[in-house]
Amino acid sequence: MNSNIKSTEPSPKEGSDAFEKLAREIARRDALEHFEFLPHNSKLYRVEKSWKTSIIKDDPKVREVGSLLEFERAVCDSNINIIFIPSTALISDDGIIRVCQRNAVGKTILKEENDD
Amino acid sequence: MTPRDPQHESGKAAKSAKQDKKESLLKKKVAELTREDLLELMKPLGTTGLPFPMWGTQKIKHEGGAELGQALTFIEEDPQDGEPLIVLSEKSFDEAWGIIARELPTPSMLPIFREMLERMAPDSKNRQFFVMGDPGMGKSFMGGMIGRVMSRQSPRVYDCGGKQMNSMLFEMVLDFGAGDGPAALIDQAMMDGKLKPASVSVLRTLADEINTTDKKYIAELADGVFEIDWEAIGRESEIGLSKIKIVEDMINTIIKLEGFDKGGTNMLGMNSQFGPMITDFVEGNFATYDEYNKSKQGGDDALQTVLQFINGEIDECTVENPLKGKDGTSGPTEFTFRREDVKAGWGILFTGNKSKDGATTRALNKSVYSRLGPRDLPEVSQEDWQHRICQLMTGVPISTWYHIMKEDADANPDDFADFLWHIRTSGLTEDQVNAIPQSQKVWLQNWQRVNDAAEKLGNFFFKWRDMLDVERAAYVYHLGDEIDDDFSAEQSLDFRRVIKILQKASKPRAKLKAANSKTKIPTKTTLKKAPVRDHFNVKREDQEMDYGTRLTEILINDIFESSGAMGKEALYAKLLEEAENCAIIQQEFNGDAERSQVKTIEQLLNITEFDNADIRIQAKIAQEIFCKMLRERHPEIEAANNEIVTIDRMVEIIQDMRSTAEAAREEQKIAIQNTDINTVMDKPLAEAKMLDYADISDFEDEPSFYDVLTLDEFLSAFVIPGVTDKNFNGIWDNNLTILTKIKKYSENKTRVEEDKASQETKLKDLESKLSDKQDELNDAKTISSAGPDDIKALEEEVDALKKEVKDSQNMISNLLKDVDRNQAAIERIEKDGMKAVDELEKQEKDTDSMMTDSHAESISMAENRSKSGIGLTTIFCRVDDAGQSDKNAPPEYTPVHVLRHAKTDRTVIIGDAISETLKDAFKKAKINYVDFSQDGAETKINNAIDEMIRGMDAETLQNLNFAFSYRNTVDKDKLEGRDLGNKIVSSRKVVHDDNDDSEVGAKLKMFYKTKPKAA
Repeated sequence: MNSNIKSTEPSPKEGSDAFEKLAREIARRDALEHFEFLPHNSKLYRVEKSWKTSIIKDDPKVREVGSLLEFERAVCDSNINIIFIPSTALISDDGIIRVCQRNAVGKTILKEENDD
Repeated sequence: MTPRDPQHESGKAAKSAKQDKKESLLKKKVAELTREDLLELMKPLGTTGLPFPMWGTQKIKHEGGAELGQALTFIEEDPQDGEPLIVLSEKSFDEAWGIIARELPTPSMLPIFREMLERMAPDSKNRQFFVMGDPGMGKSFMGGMIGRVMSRQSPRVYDCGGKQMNSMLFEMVLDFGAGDGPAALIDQAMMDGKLKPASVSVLRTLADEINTTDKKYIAELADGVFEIDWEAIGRESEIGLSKIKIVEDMINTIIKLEGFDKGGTNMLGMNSQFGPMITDFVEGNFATYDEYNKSKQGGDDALQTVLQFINGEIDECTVENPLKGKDGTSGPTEFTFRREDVKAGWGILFTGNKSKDGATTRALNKSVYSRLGPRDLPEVSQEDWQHRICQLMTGVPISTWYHIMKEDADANPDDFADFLWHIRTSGLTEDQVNAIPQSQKVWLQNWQRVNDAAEKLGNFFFKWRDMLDVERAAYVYHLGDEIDDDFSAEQSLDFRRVIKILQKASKPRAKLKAANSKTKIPTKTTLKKAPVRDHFNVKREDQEMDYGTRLTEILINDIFESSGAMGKEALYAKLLEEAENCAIIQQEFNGDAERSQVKTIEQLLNITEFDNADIRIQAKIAQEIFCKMLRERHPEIEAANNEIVTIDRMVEIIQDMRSTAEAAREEQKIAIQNTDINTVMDKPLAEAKMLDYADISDFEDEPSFYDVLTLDEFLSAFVIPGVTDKNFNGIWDNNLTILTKIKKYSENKTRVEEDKASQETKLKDLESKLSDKQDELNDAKTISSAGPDDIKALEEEVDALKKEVKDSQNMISNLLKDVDRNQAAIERIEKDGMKAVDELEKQEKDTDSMMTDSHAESISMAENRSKSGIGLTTIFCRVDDAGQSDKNAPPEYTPVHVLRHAKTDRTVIIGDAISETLKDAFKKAKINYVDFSQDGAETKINNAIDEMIRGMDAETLQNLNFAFSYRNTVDKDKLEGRDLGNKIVSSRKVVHDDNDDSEVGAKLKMFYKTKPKAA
């Protein structure tokens, strides 16, 4: 193949990235419509566990946390805007509220919930 | 260890961030800040062209004078030579301004916000503010907001409830380690399900020891799985000295049990450290001390001199560490606060609740009072409620921004919507903008409706809160028997409660059927099959469409549950009455026409994407509806939406429709869907023109029957966003007025001509009598022997007759002028139409003419010119005869009645059965379509009409009946005195080629497709 000719077709890698980007966008937009107000302008979005939550947590812009300790670290990190709490995390609603109350930053928090 | 510790991983990340240099400015001593540093830190608020809202004492002008009062106004100072507000921030102006503009404190809190900013000025010595007020009114939120504006670090809010405040200076701390420390290891073991049963038991015991009724520092989420608030349980300032010792013992036990001790290196040890108050001073942090007067009595004695330093009374104070040396504790011995060490970012907002709020609230020491000078928050106003509701719904306090730029916003609503969107997004990253819910975008575009609804809700919540004040309940509302201190405290209405109500309304929920609804016994087949719902394919747009309905339902339920259900019947009745006054619920019929024009919050907030002002979103919806209807008509179409009509093309069309909407009434044209499959891709919309048999002007080319629009073709004009407004203008005419006026002038002319003819006969008679009398007089003078008295008598008779003749001639001359005037009026109307009618009406009014029409109001309604805003007309649509067997059968028409209330933007369309696609499209367009062929149509039509004219006087319905009769033939024998619903249903099949009948024909109004003009 002549290396001077650049293919206009996306490479498999580019295609896969584009798909992932689109899938992330669909998943995030779907999740970000209804929220609960948390102290100091943070917002809690409850997301049913599905393929969409798998995509959301794989997004490099999203920080996944498993415990209240990790959650508070993410809340205090000015480089993180979106925090994902998987259904297996050791984090309750009261814990989320308490951490948001004492760290007055507005974050977007997605909490995965089982369908049951 | 804290997350802000530079040794901590997130702290390291923060240090490596680009903002490093700016962060350091807030941590720099004020005395060392250079001119450049200050220029970078100081962000002006309230400058020329970018005003900032402010509440304050002003001279308020009113009729008859002016007096001092509290008003919401604004600051707009020259940034160079004036004195704008200054906020210190390491963030960019867009970021800082965006946070403040969005999270703006409520109007009555603005003076406190202003003063706090002034105390944070670099040269200010007093760097604290103490605000006292009822819980849930946004005090700590304001503290958090100031911290967010200033710094990129997370601003700390310390909950002082039940705490020994002395530990804010020096505290015992347990270090649980970073990523691989004991805390992380224990958490991981729990997540992996590997925590030993003995450790689980220890954790349960520890939870019992340290948890309080308010706070669960260790919560068992599932069997053997705990949520542990390590940040809190490791700090004396959080849980107290005695409890932190228990934590040390028990967590060390678990570390050993789990084998995490690594030969003792991982065991916990307590250290005495600087507490948050000293750490924040050293780091230059802004902090909020929440609920200070709920801290332990006497627990703040060591703080007294520090408070004097914070308020600027003294410039140096030293505090000693009482923990140092106790039980071998290591740590600092003392700390000295020095004025020259003050950092630019350092400051404290203390908040406190009014002492009547619960048993745990204590009265502050006199010394604290005098040192911190707490300021009471003013009672929350209607404006505060409105502000907070707008903020919660849209993320922007629309009402406060609107208040200060009202006139310009009213004149340029689109520009104001753009400004609101700028506020909503200022300083946000792309991801944050993308995360803004679509509903907020639509609400900001429809800001007038949200602002209006928030005002109504604000007024209602204000009254509700007022009724719960024990004294006002007794003396103003006469509810003294029902409202006492306990009930008042239990039911306190604050912003938190409103947040819950608004939040609940944002989610779709099952609706209750109306009280008289009927349902059937489930069939055996139904019982055998479990209902199936696909959770992932629920229609999203429906959720937004019913927001106002859900909010109203939730609010009414909340009113009942917190009053009527608790036996407070009088309060319940008062609240419902107030809910009606504030248009939370529809006011029942009371004859007040003005009230009926007030939109309820349900109508205001049932906003759909159809209301989206974003032209591309409108275009997208228009494209979807358009293509769906086209496919229904031509199932053979396989092309994708964009192949039928692109979004860009739709945008152009909507722009074109908007620019021609005003002229549509004059041109009597509407835009319809082009259903010609061969041309639709080039020209998606076609034009239809009105053909009105009541129009006296000559038709240019009378259309053929097959050009007349069918029901589907006509109705499609009202469901496509961007096109509907124009079409609602295009369906009205002035022909009834013109016809009526011509008829009146003709009748008048005929009457005058008859008078003139009769007068002319009378004149002839008089002239004959005069001639005879004159002859008699001449004879008397010449040949008769009449005496002078006889002659004189005759002369008088002749003079009298001459006068009568002259009067009669004058009268005839006047009548002739009247005939000419009426004729001229007819000719003017025939020539100039409505313009002539308006001019003639003005003349009639000036001359107090008797030409006033007793049916003027009903004609105005039939032409949508009524001051009430109500309009009713009927359009006749061609019944497609494609499937008709008898080709010689006369053509048929079906009527479509359009009832509009322009002031409330409500529309009811009544016509024959339509497709599900059209029904769905009408629902989205919020048009109530009533099918007059269904069972019980009469009642449904009457209900829809009643709903539309609710609150108007009885004559409105009578006028609507007349308005209906101008365009429909009502069988007087059968329908005289019957309601409009009956008349509409009975006349639905009347029209069939009756336009040859002059009476019926004169009423017909229809639209026909115009032929494209030749190039």
